[in-house]
Amino acid sequence: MKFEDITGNNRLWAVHYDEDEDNILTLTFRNWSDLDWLEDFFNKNIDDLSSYFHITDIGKAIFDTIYDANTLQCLILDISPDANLDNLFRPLDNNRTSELTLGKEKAKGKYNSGHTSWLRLYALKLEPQSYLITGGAIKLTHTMQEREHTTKELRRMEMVRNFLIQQGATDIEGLKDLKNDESN
Amino acid sequence: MKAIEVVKANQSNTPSKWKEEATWRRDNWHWLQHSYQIAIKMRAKMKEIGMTQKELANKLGCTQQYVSMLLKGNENLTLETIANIENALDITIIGNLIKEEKVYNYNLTGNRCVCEEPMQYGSDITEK
Repeated sequence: MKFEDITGNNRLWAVHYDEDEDNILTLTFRNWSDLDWLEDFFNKNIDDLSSYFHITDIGKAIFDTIYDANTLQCLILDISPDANLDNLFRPLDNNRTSELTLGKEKAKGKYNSGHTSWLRLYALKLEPQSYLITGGAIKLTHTMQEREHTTKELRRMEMVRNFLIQQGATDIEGLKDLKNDESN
Repeated sequence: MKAIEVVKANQSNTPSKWKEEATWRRDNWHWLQHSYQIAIKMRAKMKEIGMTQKELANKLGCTQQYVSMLLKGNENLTLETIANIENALDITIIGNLIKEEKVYNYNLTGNRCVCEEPMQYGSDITEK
C-alpha cells in the first residue's frame, strides 16, 4: 500500500490500497455521490435504514447521503494550515479519553438531514494534528461489528496499523494495547 | 521511527485526485443538487411503472447512454430536457411556478419590478 497527502502539508493522508485505482478517500466520496452505488447499497440495507432511522424512502436516503457528503467534503476542503484536525476526528471508541499514536479514529458527517449522519471516515492518528484515512462507510447500525461492510473497515484499520508497525513505526505510545477499542 | 515518517517514506508518486474532484463537486453543488434530485425522482418513477432505460430513451428520442447519464445526476439539464422528462415520465419537476408563488410582474411603464398576486393561466400581464 501507498499513502497520498490529501492536504499537501502532511496533516491529512489517505491510504491507496494496491488493488484500488485511487486512494480510499477519493473512492469513498465517489461512492457517496454515485446514485447507482447508493441505490444498490440502500436496497441491500433497507432493513437497517428503516429499523434504526425509520426511513423507508430510498430516494430520501440517497439524497441525504449526497447532501451530508457534500458538507463533509467542504469541511475537509476548508481545512486551513492552522485548523485543529482534532475537531474533525475523535476516538473510534466513545469511551477512550487518552491520546494514542496510531489510535483508531472516526470523523462523522453532520446532523443536517433531519437525522444524525450515517457517514463515517475512519483514520489512524499519526501524531497530534495528523491523520491517515483508512476508509469510510455508511454506518446504519449501532456497532460496526454488526455488518460486513463496517467490519471490513475495522479490519482495514488494523491492517494499516500493522503495516506501519512492520515498516518501523515504533512509537511506544502506538504499541499500547488497543484491543479495548470498541467501534460505535 | 515516528508513524508520520513511515507514511512519508511510503508516499505515492501519483498526486491525490481527491481535492480536484471534491472542489468540482463543491463548486457545482448549486445545480448538482437539483440534478441529483431529478435523477432520484426519475429512478423512482421508472421503478414504479417498470420502465427501462431503453424505453425512456425511445420516448425522449435520445440514446440509452444519455439516459444512463441523466440517471447518474451529474448532468446540467436544459429546460427543454427537463420538460421532455416531465412529459415522458408524467412527473412534475419544475411545476407551475406562476400558480404556486407570488411573481414579480414587470412594470412596463415604470420600468421596475412590482410584487403581484399569483397569476392564473390565461391572465394577461397588465400594464400599470
